[in-house]
Amino acid sequence: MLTYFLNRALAMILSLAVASVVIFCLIEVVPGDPASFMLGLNATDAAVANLRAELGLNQSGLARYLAWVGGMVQGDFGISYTYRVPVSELIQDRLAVSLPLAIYALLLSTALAIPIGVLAAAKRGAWPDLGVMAAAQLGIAIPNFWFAMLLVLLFAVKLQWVSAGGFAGWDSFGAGVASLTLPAIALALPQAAILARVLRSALLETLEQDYIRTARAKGLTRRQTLWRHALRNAGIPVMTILGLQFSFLLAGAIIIENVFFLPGLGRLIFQGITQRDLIVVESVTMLLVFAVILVTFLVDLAYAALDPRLRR
Amino acid sequence: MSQDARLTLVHLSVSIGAKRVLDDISIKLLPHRITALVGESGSGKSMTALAVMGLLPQGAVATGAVQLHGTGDLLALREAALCAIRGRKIAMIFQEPMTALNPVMQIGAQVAEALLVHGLAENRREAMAQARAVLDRVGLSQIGLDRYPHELSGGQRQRAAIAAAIAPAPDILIADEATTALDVTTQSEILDLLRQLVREDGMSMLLITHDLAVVADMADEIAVLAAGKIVEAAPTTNILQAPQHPYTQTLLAAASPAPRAKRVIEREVVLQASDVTRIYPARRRGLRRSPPMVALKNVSLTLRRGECLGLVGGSGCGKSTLARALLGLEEIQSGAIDITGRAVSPNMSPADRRRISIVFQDPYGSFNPRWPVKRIIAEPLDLIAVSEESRASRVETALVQVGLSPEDAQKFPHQFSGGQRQRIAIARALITKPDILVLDEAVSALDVSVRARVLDLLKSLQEDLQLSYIFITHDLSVVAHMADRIAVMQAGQIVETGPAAELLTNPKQQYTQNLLKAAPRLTVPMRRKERT
Repeated sequence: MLTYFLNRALAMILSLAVASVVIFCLIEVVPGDPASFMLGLNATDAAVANLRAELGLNQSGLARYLAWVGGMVQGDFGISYTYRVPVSELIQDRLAVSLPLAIYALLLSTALAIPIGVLAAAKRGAWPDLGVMAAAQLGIAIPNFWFAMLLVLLFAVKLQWVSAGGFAGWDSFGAGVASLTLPAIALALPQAAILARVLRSALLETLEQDYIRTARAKGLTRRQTLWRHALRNAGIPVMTILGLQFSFLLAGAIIIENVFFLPGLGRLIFQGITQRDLIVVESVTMLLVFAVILVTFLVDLAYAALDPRLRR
Repeated sequence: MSQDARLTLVHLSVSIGAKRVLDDISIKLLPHRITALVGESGSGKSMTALAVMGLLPQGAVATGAVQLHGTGDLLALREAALCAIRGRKIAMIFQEPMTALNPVMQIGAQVAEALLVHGLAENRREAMAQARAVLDRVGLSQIGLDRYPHELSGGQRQRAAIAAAIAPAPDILIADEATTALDVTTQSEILDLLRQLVREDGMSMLLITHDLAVVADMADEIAVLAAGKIVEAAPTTNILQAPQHPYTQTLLAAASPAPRAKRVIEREVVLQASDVTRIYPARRRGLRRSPPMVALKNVSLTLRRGECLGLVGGSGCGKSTLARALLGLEEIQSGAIDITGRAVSPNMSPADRRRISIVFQDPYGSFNPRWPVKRIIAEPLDLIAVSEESRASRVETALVQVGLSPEDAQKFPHQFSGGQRQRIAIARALITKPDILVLDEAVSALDVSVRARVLDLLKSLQEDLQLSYIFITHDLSVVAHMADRIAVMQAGQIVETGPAAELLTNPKQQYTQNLLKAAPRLTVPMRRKERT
């Protein structure tokens, strides 16, 4: 088990190192000089040169890469070119919205998907299965931003239960959760539909296995067999999808953030790109990569927890 | 006696749609007795077991009655009542020890579960204590309750499955091909265990198998099943010594093929392997290294034209590694292999590869299901330049050689039975006109009557084409029927080799003697008398 853990950890660190090089190189080849962009069209060459020196843009690529990585390791992400505040502060503010939103959506989608998937598998071919799967198909097909607008129309405009957008902040926990609820639902529903389908087919495949027959021969009921023997064995594909979904929810919520005017990471990176605030883009991308790799690592650990055959 | 019967199948029939898969089955299971249900694949053996357990596939309809002593007709019971009987009164063990246990559950828990489900233990702790006792009883005292199935060998897993089945002390035990997937030594140990349990606990056992030799060794009565009907049912001795029904007679004849008549083969040597050693290098598993594994150690053998060399040994002894090495698919660390004067190695030329081919065990897994037979058979011709017309005619010849018709070339694998598929595999191996055919458990997956016909085919092909065979098998009666000489492998080495008849009647090595002793044989009623 320790070997497995160390192997996964080593793989994680290597992936991070490779990702940092790739991100740095990509940002290097993006056209547009941040210094001249910041100073505007009328800036003198001398002023631009001064700013370039101040931002450290004169140094060699390798030196800048090492400075960037070295800073990040110590929690220093540099100063935003446009906002003139430490990037770490920007990220912190945005993460306070994006991370809870992603977790909220993930919990919602899991809470929806597991009972639905199990129900569909248990009633295979019968109307609960067909109904649930048709709904899931719809959930996958509907674009989430359109669904988000419907939610706004119903709950904010018509019923006026929640505000249509914006983020109330975490000063009041209830208000914070309330302002994230509609976006979380909009994000969670399509994910839940996918997850339920994956769980259903994984369960159906597991239910064909010999050990399920053994369990039935021991005298377990259909339901006991499903919950005790099948669910855990069907867990691996479900964990894989959950891992992918979390990464997507963290980074890919950009459209939903725009629909609900949420100051999240997605919007930050989008603004960073349009304003040539490359240091923000670089750092947020790296952070997202880190999050994805961390989640993959956690999923790997979850695999081992689920399946003893992988603990080597 | 009839009122003492634990379980009585009365005119049991099962239909799936319009098809009748079981027809008027009547069997009685008595305490302390082993009743065998013997038949080839598709005869309805497993369907009978599933009907008794109330686990028939969806859409199957059972009529007649399954009378359980003290309960009544199981077919009339509802699912909830059946759950209380399954495992408690009637337990079952299955064929595949690899897949019959839940891979993510510790074996202690899997045994304890059977007790908890039926309320035979107050709590989990008590159930685990009982599980420990049962596991000790089936010979797993060395195995911790917290072990997972993948950490056990095939034989140990089957013991664990047996422990889970007998833990609630059922009256009736159904063993569905419970030893078929095990090698002979393990098989004989498991059979001994089952026999002991039945005798000690007074269980009634329904032993389902295709292997008459297993039955001869175990059963008190035998019922022979063919196409869903019982064609003959009688005490074991009667069936073995004076089978009445023609089907039973063919089955018996096919199950005990006559040993091959002694031949003197003095033609040239086609294959020479000397001191072949195959070591799988230490593999890095992340930060740890697994030690190197010696799969073959100084293996030497010769094969003459027209000769058949049998290669026997327990699972994992290196038989298949040796076969791959002879085909030039394994890098060898020392020694040399030579076929008709040309060296064999992984980078030998395609033209050299042509001289040796292989037929595998699984007639289902070894073809691409989307290819027509002609493409499957012709594929090895890519090794040698052959014109398009000659390809077609060679496919035709090969099909005829293996007893299929030229029209079969257009069909797809799923349109053939298991035996026919194995014929296609042989045709594919023959198409390059090889000198040597490696038959790696090539008839092991076939029913005995089909197997007999394929073996006949192999023999006549050997005569006609002067082929040399390397015949790999775990089945000693088959190897006696086919081989001129036999080599016995153990732990990567050839421990004994000699003329077939001599080696089988008078083995020198302890390992060979054990192997022979473990092999079930049809002449066993005598042996059973000795035992009791």
